Amino acid sequence: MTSELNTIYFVNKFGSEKKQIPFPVAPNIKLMDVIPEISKKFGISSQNICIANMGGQVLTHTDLLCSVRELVEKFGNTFDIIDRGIVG
Amino acid sequence: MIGYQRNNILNILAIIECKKFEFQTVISAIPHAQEFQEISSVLPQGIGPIGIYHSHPFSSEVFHSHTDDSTLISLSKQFPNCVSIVTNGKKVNYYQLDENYQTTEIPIKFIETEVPKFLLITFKETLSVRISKKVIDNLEKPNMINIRILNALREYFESIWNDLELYCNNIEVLKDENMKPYLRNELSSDPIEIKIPSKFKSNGEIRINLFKRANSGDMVEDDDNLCLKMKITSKLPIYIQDKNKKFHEIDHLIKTELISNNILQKVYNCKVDLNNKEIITPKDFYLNYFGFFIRILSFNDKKINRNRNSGKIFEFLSRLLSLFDHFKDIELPKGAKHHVLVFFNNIEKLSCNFYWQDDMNKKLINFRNLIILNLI
Repeated sequence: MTSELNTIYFVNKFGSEKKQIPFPVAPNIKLMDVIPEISKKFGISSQNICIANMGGQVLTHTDLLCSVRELVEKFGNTFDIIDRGIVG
Repeated sequence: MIGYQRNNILNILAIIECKKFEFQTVISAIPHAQEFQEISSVLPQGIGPIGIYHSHPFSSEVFHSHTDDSTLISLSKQFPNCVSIVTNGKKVNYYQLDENYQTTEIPIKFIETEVPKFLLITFKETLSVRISKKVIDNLEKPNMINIRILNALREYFESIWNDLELYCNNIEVLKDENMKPYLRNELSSDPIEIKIPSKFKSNGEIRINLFKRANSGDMVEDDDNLCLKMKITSKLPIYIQDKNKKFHEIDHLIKTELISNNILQKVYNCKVDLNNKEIITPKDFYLNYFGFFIRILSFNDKKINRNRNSGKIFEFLSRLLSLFDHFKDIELPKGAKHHVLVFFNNIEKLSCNFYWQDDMNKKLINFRNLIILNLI
């Protein structure tokens, strides 16, 4: 386990000010397992939350089942957090 | 809806339409998250998505459904004064959450809104990225080098951020200074430069090392390294609503915009040229969109652009332009007419960097003929 992977960064771009929040997490944990915690911190419901990397690629359900270490190697350590915004 | 908030009042400056949906029927819709990411990434710090609008096309009454209520609650947790607009095509209603988290109709006023002034921040540095050839050989895909550099740069900036220095015309700007004298409304104005102090440089060079890691987690320098030069040039407007704030009060806004919404995106999209030992990063190209600046990343080289996000940028600009289809029958205020013309000219200039230049110019001619001539 390396210290490099212990913090990932989430950026919320909804609202007039973009906000960046560091999120300390163990590298071997699956991102899916911390989604409820991320949802609470950002106030987005778990069903509505979406995570995308710096290139705008939205992480799939399969991606979310990967460990944080694998995701950081594949997508980078900084992610945008997005509320789907369902209307009806 | 794109805008800003001042004194608890929302000011909507522009709209951007969602065109892609994960799911859409006559009674509900889920916009595609990637589209929201694309839109929000081009917007400057201080101006952003502050509300949503949608239609209930087959309803005789305009109402806010329980689905809309849930979304408004969720969005309001991220931006407390978020507004939700619903129309049936004839009537338009405007909603916000009240102090009891209940949806309530709100009054609105149509005025020509003022675009706030901004701090113009620049960052210009050349980094020396040293990477072990073994690391390159072990990467599954070539673009994983970009990710490795991105991760290393994030860590680097996090470690030095509090020590970075601000200068304006070579005079140091202190973080407890009031920012009012530094507010601008032109991108050509004197900027505030963010500089990395020399104590973080080695022989005047900023070094980013990408070596193998030993079992202990420490980086181990290899004899067989490549040293790649990476020039980062960033210019970003940070729109300010409260002119009386001091620099340290908006430090987090500058940090988020410079690192997460600028430098790391450039690194993600950079071209790593191992033969010429160079990492080429895209440039900031600004478009004046209804009086504020939105940013598109592009290289000054058509060939490099073709292999990057050329198609995505064409699609994005076409989506922005399609909005003006709706303006044919609207009497725009004088200021807005001017902004539309400037926006078209900016797109024309940006198009010179892409092979789709002719296609975009045809679109622009059509829009100028169909819309602008009617407006003047």
